[in-house]
Amino acid sequence: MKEANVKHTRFNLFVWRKLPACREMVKIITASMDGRVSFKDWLRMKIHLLSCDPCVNFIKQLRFISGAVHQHQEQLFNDESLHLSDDARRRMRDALKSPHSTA
Amino acid sequence: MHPDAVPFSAKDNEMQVSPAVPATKVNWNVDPALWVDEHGDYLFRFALARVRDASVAEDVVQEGLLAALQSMPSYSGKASERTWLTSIVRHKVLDHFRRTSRQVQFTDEDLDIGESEKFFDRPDKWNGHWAVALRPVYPDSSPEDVVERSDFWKVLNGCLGALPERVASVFALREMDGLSTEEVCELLSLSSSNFWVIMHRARMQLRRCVEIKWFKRA
Repeated sequence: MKEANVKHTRFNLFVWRKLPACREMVKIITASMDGRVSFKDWLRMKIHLLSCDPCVNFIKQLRFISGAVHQHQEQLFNDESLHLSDDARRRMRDALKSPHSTA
Repeated sequence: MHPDAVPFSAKDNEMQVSPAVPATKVNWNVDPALWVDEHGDYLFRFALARVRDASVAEDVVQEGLLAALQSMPSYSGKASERTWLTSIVRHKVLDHFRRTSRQVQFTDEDLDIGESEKFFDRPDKWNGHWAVALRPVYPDSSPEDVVERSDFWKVLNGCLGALPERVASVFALREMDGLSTEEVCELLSLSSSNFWVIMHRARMQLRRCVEIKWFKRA
């Protein structure tokens, strides 16, 4: 575990004063995960990320979770030990045997 | 073909020189009696990976197979049987999410992002920036590192399960089914501004949960 490092350099101080704070940035960052942010917001985000380690960690965590969710999905899908219960199997066979019933 | 299986509408067309339904329309190689054995488990895992609940996944598969039975006359046989059945089950998965999110309208609570404001409350002049104690930590593992870690999957499942059901539906459609923003909004009759708020909330809550239970674990 690495703690976020925040350096008060002149560039960073300038960015923090002139651009929206992290409170607003996290909204732009989560929106960027789902597609559209305006060019202006994208630029603000990039500049903010140059100056803010916690927000860089934030975006890395979001990407980690997104990647993990996909891995998890793939894992479930490929796990041959997961199968229909006998009960469900029987139920489905019965339902499919009478092709003209809709039950 | 299975000996017991009577092909769909076979009796009607038997011995007719020119059947009412053009012969190309009916695919004689499709045998519903074998679906459960040949594709049941595959379809079950496909559904389970999306709805994450075994009994819901079973219901979804059954609905899908019955729907497939009904639409058999229109199955052209161009796609493989499994691909065809999977696409029908996928539609049933979407129906499931539509139902769970339609049962109740999104509440103010679902749309509340006030909870995440505490991360940015600071007494000093840097109010609006991350509170020092709550700064996100560096994620020291990659998704590939945790593939084999069952303790991690327990954490992730717990965190996904802690999301309010309707918020989880939106998240699942977007992240797991990979629908676009527009598709999710249309499917759930959501305004795009509500979509953004819900996804923001889902990601904030998941992130914090995984951070506490995984990245900051002792």
